[in-house]
Amino acid sequence: MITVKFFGMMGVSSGVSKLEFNEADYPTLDHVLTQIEKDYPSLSKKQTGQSIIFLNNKAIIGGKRLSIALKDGDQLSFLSPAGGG
Amino acid sequence: MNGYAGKIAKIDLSKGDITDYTLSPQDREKFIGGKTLAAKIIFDSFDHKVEAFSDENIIVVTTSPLTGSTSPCSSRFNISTISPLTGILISSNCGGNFGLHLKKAGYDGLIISGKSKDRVYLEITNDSILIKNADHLWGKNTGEAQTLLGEKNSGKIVIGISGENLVRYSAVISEERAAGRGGVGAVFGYKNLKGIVASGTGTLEFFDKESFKKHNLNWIKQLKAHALTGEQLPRLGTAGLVSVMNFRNLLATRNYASGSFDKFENINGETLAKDFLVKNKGCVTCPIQCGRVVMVNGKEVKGPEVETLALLGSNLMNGDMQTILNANHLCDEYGIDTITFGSSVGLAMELNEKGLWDNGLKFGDHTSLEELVGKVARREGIGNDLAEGTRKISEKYGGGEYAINVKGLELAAYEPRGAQGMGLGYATGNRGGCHLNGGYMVVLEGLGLLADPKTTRGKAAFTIFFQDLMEAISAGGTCLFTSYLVLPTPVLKNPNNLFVRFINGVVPYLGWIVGFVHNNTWMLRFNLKNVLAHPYSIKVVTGFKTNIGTFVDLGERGYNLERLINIRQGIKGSDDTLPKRLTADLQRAADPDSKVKLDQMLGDYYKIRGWDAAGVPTQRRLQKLGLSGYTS
Repeated sequence: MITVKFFGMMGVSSGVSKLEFNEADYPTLDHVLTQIEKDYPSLSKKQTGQSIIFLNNKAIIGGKRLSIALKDGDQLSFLSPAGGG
Repeated sequence: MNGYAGKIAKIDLSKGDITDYTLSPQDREKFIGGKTLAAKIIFDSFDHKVEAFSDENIIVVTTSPLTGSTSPCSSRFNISTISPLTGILISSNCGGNFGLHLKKAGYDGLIISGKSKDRVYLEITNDSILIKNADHLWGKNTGEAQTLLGEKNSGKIVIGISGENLVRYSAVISEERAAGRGGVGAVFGYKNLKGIVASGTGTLEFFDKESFKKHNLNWIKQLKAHALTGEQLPRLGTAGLVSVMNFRNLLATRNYASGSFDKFENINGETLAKDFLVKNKGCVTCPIQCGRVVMVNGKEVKGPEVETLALLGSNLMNGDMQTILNANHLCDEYGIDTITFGSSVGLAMELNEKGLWDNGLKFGDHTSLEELVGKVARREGIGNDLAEGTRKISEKYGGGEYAINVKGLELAAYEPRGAQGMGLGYATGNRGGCHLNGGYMVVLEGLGLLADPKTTRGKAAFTIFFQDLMEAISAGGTCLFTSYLVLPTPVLKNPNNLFVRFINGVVPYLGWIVGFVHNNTWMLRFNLKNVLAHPYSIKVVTGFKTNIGTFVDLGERGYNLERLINIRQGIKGSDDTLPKRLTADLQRAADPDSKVKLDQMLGDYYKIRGWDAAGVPTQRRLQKLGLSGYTS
């Protein structure tokens, strides 16, 4: 099972904080984002793909991030931009 | 006088004398207001080291030209003095409504000297200042004291029981806002000054009112449309930073032994918004409204900032939000700085764990937290030691490497081993371990942008530029959040965009350009109203020829002047350092870059600042800044 969490404005605005996906059906980040967009149109693939993304607390960035393979137990975290306080 | 009420009062509490302080028009334009004008006044008032708890120490309360102008986020005022916590200059900035009312009462600032024999407060009404008996206010906390000070249409600042008992990190409170850092409230307490109430009917004159109005509307519109000031801060407050700080290993945890907390979701802004938030609140004239209102014991009170969530939460391994809300409210009521309080408790827990101080406090056990606030305020039991702050606690019990302060001021919530520039900012900040006075580089290094937080390249120049910018914005009189317009929303919202990744990658390599421009501000003799709105706003309010270049000069002038005061107070280059834990111990064993490489940045910092190898501003630099004759 892959756990997906949304933090910051993404979570607050969409009202979605946590989702779960079966890794067999969603082998890559691209698959996960596509499904999220289908289920929650306010979380478009463009938006989630452009957000700050952590896989198991490690930042993933770069053009190939969407093809990263996911496995059972993975935790994906999506964060909206922050500033200061 | 455009932008100013026109008067600064000198109040000698020993003699009961009240006189006018004369400020020349040239000096008014040169030092503007706020912490920078206060630094000029404090510098001029002495030629020797001053003890914080002494009759000769002065408290300087200042407003700024934008205070009361209806500029966005311009209700702020400043309190400067020699700090009982650090022994050097402290300038503490506050929202609330006191600054507005002080100007309406006819004063741009107050210089309070001496020590009253009796317990007193000041009542300022339409150009009149009375020193009045405060026996009925003494022993009261900040909420009750403000209520007793009466009428609604006035601005008040007060200390709580903490300030009366000379707790070294006592705050001054205005409404529920705090001039929190460095113990300004304790200096009030030493002088037997409970507070000040100001009211009046004065109005502000403008140099170019029509241009000001137009500029103001545009500025507000820009702030409301921005991702941070229009969305994140209103919805989540500063608490919205907790999550990203945790993921970036920037969240002060377990007395700064770590940068992430496994229970961060219990104390983040999302949880605060979902389960605890009653409504937003903000200062007068603020379109952002970042303040939180929460429930404590059935009463609506001010909610915590990110600093408090970290220092009373993750730093103590406390994942219980309600105890943080309760302790935060108690700190406001007693008049205590939550950052230094949380850091002192964190140190006490670590010393207890290491067998250096048998005090019964344990990480993760929050049951005594609320009780501890009261013990500190009353200096009871272990509260008497905790009331001294981390530097003095470690002097007594040992464990100096775990006392997380710089120059005696405890660090804010940002663990700097996850952001090299932030580490340099803390080390060189004039207040000590302050993120804002330190330049707040973490915004570029992980919170907003991601300009390689592990590299030291270019960080000295950026740190200096932003330290001076923060100084100038404070002098002008607006909240620092108004500076977020320098970070365009599309850049913030698309961190994975190729262009944004390019910017993040290239920023450290631009350090030499930033340093060059900083030292050649003649290149910036223009205004960019949509990016940095402050200089133009000051220009149309006051008639000064302010532009980005003169604004940066103002910041640099203030920064150097504060440095000179600190040198007079005994600060040396060797004090521009960090606790050993942050420079010698890796935050994460697998990451060799997870410590602050201060030595790689400090030399460049001094060089770009125009300071000598000992960290002293050179005469050449002082002359360039119009500070000839100012020497430490």
